Amino acid sequence: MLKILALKPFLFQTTLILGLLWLNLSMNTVQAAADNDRDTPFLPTSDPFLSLSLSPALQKSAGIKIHPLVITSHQPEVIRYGRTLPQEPLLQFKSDYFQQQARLKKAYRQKQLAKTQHSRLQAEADNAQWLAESITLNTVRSAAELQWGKTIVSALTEIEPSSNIDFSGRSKTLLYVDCPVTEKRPMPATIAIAHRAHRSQAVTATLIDPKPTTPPTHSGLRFFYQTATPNFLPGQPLVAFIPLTEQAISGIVIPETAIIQHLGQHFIYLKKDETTFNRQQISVNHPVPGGILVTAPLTSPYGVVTRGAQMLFSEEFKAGIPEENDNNDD
Amino acid sequence: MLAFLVRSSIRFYSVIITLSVILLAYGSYRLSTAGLDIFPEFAPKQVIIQTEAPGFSAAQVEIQVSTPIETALSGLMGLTTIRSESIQGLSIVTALFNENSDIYRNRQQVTERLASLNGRLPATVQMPVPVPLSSSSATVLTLGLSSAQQNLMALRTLVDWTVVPKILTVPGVADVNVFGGELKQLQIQIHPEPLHRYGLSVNDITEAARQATHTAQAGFIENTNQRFTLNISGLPQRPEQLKKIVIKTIEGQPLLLGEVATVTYAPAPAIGAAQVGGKEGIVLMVIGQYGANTLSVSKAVEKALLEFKPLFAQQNIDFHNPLFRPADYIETSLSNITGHLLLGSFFVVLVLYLFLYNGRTALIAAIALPLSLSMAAVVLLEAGVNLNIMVLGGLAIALGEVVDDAIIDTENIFRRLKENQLSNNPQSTFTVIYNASMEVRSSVVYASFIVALAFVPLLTLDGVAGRLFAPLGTAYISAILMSLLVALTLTPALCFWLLRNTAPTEKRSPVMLFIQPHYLRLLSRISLHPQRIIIFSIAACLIGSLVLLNLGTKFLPELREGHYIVHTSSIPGTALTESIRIGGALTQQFLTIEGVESVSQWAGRAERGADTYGSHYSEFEVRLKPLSGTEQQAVLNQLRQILTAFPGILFEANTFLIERVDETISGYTAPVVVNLYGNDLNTLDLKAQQIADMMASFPEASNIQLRSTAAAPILAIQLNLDQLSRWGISPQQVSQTISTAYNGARVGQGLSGYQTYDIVVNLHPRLKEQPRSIAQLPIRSASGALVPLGELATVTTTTGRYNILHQGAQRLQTVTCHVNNGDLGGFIKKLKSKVFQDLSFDSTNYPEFTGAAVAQNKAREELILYSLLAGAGILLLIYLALGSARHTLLTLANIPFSLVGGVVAVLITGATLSISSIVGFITLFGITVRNSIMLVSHYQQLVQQENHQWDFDTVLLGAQQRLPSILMTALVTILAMLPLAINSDNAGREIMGPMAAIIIGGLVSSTILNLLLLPTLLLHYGRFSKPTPD
Repeated sequence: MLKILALKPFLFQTTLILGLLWLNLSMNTVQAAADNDRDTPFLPTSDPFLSLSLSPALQKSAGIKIHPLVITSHQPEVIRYGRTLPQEPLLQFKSDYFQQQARLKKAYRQKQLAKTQHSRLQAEADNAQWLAESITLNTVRSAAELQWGKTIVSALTEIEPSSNIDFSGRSKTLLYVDCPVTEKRPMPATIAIAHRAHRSQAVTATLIDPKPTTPPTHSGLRFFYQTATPNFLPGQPLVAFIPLTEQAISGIVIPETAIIQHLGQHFIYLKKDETTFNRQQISVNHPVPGGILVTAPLTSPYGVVTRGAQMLFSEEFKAGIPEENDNNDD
Repeated sequence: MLAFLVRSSIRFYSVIITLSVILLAYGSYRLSTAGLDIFPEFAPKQVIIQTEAPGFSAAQVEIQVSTPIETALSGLMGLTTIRSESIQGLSIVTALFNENSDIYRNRQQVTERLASLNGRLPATVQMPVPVPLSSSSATVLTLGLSSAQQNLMALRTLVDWTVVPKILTVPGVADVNVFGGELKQLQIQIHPEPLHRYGLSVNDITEAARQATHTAQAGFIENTNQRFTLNISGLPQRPEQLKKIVIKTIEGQPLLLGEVATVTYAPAPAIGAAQVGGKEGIVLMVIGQYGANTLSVSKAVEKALLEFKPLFAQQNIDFHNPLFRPADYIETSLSNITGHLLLGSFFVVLVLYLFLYNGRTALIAAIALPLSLSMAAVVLLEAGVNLNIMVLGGLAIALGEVVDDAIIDTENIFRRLKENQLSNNPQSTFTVIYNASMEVRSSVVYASFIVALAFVPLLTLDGVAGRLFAPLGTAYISAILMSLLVALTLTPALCFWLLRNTAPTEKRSPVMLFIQPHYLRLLSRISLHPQRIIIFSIAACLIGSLVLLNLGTKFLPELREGHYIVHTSSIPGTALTESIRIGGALTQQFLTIEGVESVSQWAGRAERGADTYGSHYSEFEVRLKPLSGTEQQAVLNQLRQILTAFPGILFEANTFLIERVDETISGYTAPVVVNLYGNDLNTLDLKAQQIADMMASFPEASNIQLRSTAAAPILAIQLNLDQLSRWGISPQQVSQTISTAYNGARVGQGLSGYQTYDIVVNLHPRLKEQPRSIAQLPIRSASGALVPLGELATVTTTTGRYNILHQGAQRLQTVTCHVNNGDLGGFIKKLKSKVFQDLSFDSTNYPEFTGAAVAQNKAREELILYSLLAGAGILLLIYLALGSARHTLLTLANIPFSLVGGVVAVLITGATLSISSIVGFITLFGITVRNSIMLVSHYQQLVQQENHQWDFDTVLLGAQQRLPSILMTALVTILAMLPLAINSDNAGREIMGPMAAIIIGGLVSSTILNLLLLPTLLLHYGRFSKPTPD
């Protein structure tokens, strides 16, 4: 070999040069292994409802779970707190009222008597007494109405009870429910009441009256209700489930695990087809047990992503993922 | 002086030989007992201060924690810069000091300054603490615990109170970072409903619990005789006891805590989580102290953990040991390097014998090998240099060189003894050996210093490159200088002792008998066509240079450590549970890869850890079964494939050491970095975005990144001050209520044996998950009424900053990009011009243009400068050795030839250049120059000392005489490097392998051309003549 090379140095030179050139060209076309493991940053487009595409195999390996969209009816409720009305103050008022009424009647009779006896001075005194008793009675009644509303007071002051209100607690329970002063919705005629926040154990209560004044120990409004059951003790704390709408609302319950919050808005991911996911904004005005009732139309033959929504969100906004190891040491 | 040394060594040969034996024994002993680490300490001199600020947002941490700490630390002696990162609940401030400062003194200064912060930070913020001083490679061992029977709280309690304290007693352990498990607390979990029902506020519960669990110092009673210490016991510390605390009485009836809250043991809010093999568990990361030896500390920790084996078995706890063990790499590397040394040594001895064809002569030359290396190791150890892979690598690379001096010496002595025996007037053996030794002495000495000088620029490298490779250079230089000493002392002594009474035989080496005639014929033919040879050589060099410039580069080659570290990052705000879920899915896929032994994951961060990772960040330890380098690369490729396809994550996958080096690599990982400094974050964001847009307008820019992005979701609670005034409620009441509910209010401490746990009031976990629960929290007004928080504040979701960065106590925003066409300098110039033209800056906000390109340019400039200085020194030495400028230039002509072979070696082995490749070229340069010097000086010897005419016959004679030593030295080096170069893609050889390949390739080409071209050049252009008498 050496002999050939020595005899034909030019050939050798040419071969070597061409060989080196080939090596250079071939090596430059070799794709070196990626030194940078970061994906090319995904620049979000202006379309907020960008479609994401993932193969079924990838969906499975990434653990994405889908929950079908099921239309359901639900009456959204809000929890408020209240108590049963203690009976003693009511009965005390009733006693006071009738006693006062009796005093008034007596004062009236005395006035009449004084008139008939033609005693002017006596008549004036009796008249004054009668006026005082009358004012006192009105005051007592007014104070009670401020305390419990007209309907309850009217019922209490009936000699022969004709209203529906049961003050004995033997068949029904009087109670009140407090609402925040910002509550703008009118209180519904019927609500559900329970000992604790256990919806399944609640009973119905019907509206009697709002309290005319704001209770000193509570901010907001107080409403008086009466249940149809006697299962509550006087003064007992209660939980009230106030329906937010008159009728049940039809919608789709979206589990909490499906909801992503971003920039003050709430989003879910719907699976549009075998491989495509779309982000959809939803309103969270109707919380229900286990999620949010969404009334806006949601269309997806497959359903909503209940596991992996945050991962899809992260995929969509990959450009926002910081490079944690880009350390400035040294 | 050299003459005196050689003469004395021959005269007192027995003393020299005895001393050498002693030194060899001592060197072996020191080597066997020296600890071995992976890399030298390469982290910069820094002190990291960590401050936990539970419940604080990033902005609050920045203003109330990080900034006061930075202010307290400013002005320290030796401080170069201060950096900080503020994230939710944590501040990390890094103080960087001068390279040559004393790290312990730095820490002392920092500690003293931190003490001055006492009382100046918010009350709920914990004291700033310097993170334990750890080694560059930090992690010594990673372990895991999981159990099908024990819950996470029990596991964590066991780890915190039993396992970690034991590990911390092991010398060399700086800290143990614990991820996962559940930190035990006794929680009083409030529900808004009972609070409303019974007219209680959150504060009422907190106060009642605090009063019930308060431990007072009772004092003592003393009378004239005795002193009694008062001890109060029976305080409620368990759930069943706390439930009986009376909150208030209602109509004479006590209302108990258990009626209004759930009192139970529950986990503290987690900042980190972990899983092992896809099952929830605990991961422990054992951190080594600064300067601690990884191998010995690992073994000590493993020994300490052995005593837990029965306990784990009894409690059905799976102990995963190890999940990651850096010492494995050290042991494998050591074994591989040891194998290389042994095999290389065998080849050396074999070559020596084949060429010299004399056992004693071969032995004399070979003995230089272990003696030089062990003496070099002793010198390094005595100088305080710790043994590590780089030092061993330097010694391994020197393997082929350390015998060269002895070979040249011995071969010359042997030849002269033979000639003396055949001479008519034989001289004494002493004289022959002395003269023969002195004949080659000066050129050997100069050549050795040239080889050593070639490495000096390596010692001047700055940053991580310098810290990593300087020990290699030091070890190499030490070995060369020791080999020179051996050649000056022991080699002549041994020659005198072993060869003086031996008659050199007429037997010639069959190898030389075969090669020599062919060589002479080839040389004769080539000498007839010098121009063609020169043209061809120039062309080959040019092509080699072109190829070299087009090769890809990386800092270090892939290390085959037997494991991989994978980082994944989702968008900030991702919950820990989701990160763990994603990790579980990835783990299942990783475990299907052939060759993966175990996978563990931790997410978030650990208490006392210096990492500022949020819940969106995970790290995986992927431990491999014993695999070859190629198989490990295949596993890495599969890991990357899985990670690339997985949605919603960014990732990095690397070995531990490469990652550690990358973290501390000079400057930044991105080629172009623009730092924006300023006071106003919004302005910084705006300008950063504008700069990013400018970068995007250049077509060559790619991968543009804004580093600190406002991406974390925030639940903003906006207080309504009017409503607060109306109800007579202070803002602090609202803040405290929210803090108690979600962060927890620590009201006391419980005891269980020697274990303590916090007693905390907080909101029930189920309610914590629902943001609307905030609105239901009751707060007591001035009149005593209970007001729901929803009436006092507006709760909205928005986004805020995930982290806030500081540098030099200024807010920082960073924009990075890559440049596709490679013209980094031109791109930076264009960008700078556009930025200053289109954007306005003032003294409070300004940009800084930097990046890996700038750092590398700076490093390159420094390297070039020092290389030029070293080059000038080398030229001077060559001139001193040869005494002729013409011959100096002709000697240098050999260098490009070695380049060609080295480039071919790079192409064959991997087609990328790394720092180790450059070190290989530097080594090659030194060896090539030495071989050239040997030939030229021999020609000088022939003409000036032996009165030959300078003609073609003299050229052939000199070449023929130098052929054995040149071939031997080249072959010895090549064969010594061969075990390293072959299968270099294996543990311990990844860095040395490319070096060895380049040395082999370069030596092949330079030796061929040295033997063929240099004599031809010298014949036509060299000038050798006898010196004139004056």
